Amino acid sequence: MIQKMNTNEYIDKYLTGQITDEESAQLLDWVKESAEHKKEFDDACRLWYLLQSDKFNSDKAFEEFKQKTKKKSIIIPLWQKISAVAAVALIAIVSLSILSKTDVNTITIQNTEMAVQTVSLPDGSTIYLQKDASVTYPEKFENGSRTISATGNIFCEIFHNESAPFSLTDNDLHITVLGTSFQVNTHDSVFVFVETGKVRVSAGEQNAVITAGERADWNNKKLICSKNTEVNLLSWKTGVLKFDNTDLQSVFTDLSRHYNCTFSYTKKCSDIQNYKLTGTYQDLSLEQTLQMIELAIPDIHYDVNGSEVVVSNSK
Amino acid sequence: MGTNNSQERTEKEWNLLFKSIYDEYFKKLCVFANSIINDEEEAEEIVQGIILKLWEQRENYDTIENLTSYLYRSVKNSCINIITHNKIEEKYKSETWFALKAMEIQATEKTPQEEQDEHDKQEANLRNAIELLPERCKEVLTLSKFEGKRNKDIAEELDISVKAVEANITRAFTTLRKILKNN
Repeated sequence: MIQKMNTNEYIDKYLTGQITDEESAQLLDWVKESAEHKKEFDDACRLWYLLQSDKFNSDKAFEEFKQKTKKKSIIIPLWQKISAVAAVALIAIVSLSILSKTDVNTITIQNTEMAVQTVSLPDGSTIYLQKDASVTYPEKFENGSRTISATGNIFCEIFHNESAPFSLTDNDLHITVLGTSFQVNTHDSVFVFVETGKVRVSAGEQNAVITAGERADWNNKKLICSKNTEVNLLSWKTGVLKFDNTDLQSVFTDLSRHYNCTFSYTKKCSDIQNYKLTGTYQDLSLEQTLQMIELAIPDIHYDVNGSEVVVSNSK
Repeated sequence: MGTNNSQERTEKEWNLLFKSIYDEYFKKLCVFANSIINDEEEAEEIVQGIILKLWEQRENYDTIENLTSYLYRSVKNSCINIITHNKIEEKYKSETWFALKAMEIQATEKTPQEEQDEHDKQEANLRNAIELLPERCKEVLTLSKFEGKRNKDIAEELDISVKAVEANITRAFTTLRKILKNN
């Protein structure tokens, strides 16, 4: 039982989000006790609602809703599509094979170069491939479905078409796209990141719908959704690496994804987590970026050997 | 299954239906979501997401038996998901807390006409009472209620912490309740 003098305080604490579980239970009992108590509680709730509700604008929200539910249209001009396909054909290994189930020719493109490769799909959607990534798609999308498969780190810009859902599979994940751009990485860690729009990710029996700014990680047979906090997640595609007081260990993680390389350390450099880096690096090679970082942090030296970087302490 | 109705609605009718959902529920759902996760922007995004989902699955609209409880339940689940996945500071709310919430929701839910009359009356009383608040409280509350600013933006504008904004709103609320009760 709450003392009369405390009830007001409990109601205030409840409405302003400071009540403890125990106090909640006491307050609940008190409110249920009599019609008078209930009225006092109700009045306080209404007042709180009056103070809180005008922060949220339903008209503005409805306008946004109308924008979002409008039908989307295709914007990329045809000549761009053709040049992209031509460029891909020059540098890619293109192989044609016949799918066993149907008679549709499929095309597989694997990027063996450092530069990001762009692949245009028959429906005008665009796939960006990082080094070692590959995509397989039918020469022509038929029967109202658009299904492709891919491995490695890829980024997709998919044209919205309600009547022909777009889906992408790799060994573990199955992604259904509801018109969007997103990144799939099956290279080092398996995840899907959505830049715009919305995708449905299925893995095993687990399902999740993720929207712009969110990612789904497939880890130890578990699908975990979260807001993305890594600023350099798409750096390999945009060419821009940004660091803001980032510790070197995290810098190396981002670099290894960006350049598809690995980092190893000599015995003497155990203190790299003590160094912080701030700076923006655009369209540089791995060697150039490391040189710039060495200028900023002269204590640490890098030796590049193919796609392996050996980090040592130059002191 | 009343799926026939869903298919019979024209695009215009759908638009009107969703407009009425926004008018009736949007603010309430946002206040509800915000009370669970204490993040105004996120709260609004969650509610938008849920209405968008309702739109995308509108062929099933008429199979929803009770729209009010459907919406509140969806918002509650999304909020709990966010607390779990994003490891935000807010802790889980207990079932007792949600029982209080259910009563609060009932208290603020009335037939539109009653609501409008009551709302206007309360709004007028409130304006008078706000004049009696201490200066800082009044300032914070004016920005929050009448200019519809988010706590985060108020904090920036007045160069104080978000916690201080929340504390001022709490204080304003406590004082207002006392003033209005004595009227």
